[in-house]
Amino acid sequence: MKTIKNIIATAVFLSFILFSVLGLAGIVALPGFVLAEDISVTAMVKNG
Amino acid sequence: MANTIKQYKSTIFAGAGLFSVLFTVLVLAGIVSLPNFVSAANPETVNVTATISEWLSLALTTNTANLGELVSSAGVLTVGSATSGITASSNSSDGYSVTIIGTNGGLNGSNGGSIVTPATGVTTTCSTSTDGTNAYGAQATSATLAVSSPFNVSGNVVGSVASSSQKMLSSTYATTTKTATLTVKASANKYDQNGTYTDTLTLTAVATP
Repeated sequence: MKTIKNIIATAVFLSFILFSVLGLAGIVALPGFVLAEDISVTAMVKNG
Repeated sequence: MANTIKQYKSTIFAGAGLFSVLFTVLVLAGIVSLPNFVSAANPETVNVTATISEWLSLALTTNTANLGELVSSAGVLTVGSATSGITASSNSSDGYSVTIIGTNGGLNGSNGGSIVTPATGVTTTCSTSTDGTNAYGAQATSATLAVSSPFNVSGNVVGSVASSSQKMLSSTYATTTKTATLTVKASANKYDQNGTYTDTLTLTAVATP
């Protein structure tokens, strides 16, 4: 019983660490505190 | 027997007195608790909790800004302009802001050269007069969001889109979706090298900490 408890506790702890790392790395999107959008700007200069 | 009781009478009274004093002290110190005779005076409580997480939303109506030909093949100068609608909302109790940053710190030409944007916090004016002005930047308008300097300008005046992040829009706590319009403008000097000029602007919404 104690061993199972330890395994569950370790799994929860490791999941927390993994999720934190993935979240910080931007692989997993955390609930939107920061959102970004890009705009590509283009212009032409045609000197005859 | 009567003599025996008489003999220990004072001892019994003293013992009872000391016990009373000791018991009173223990009760007052909270070490010994009295039975709960009146339930209303010592009610039981239930702590109720719930959570509302913070969320934020940002969207653009278009992710491209094509400024067209700043200098045509006939050498005609034009102030290029393009707009994109911004929609933002959040339940952040302290509100939120939208920042802008340019990747190149100007429009980079495919054949070299660049159309420059002024330093952070500064405005510039796009112009076609005489040989034209090498200028690039953005302005914003909104009826619901506060527009920060240097983007609170109009006409052909634009604020810097340098490669340092600048606050462009902000809101206090609000229960509605808010909108703004971003306008990107540029003009060139007629002797700027021909080619395609590009930059990427990044708008970021951040909940106020």
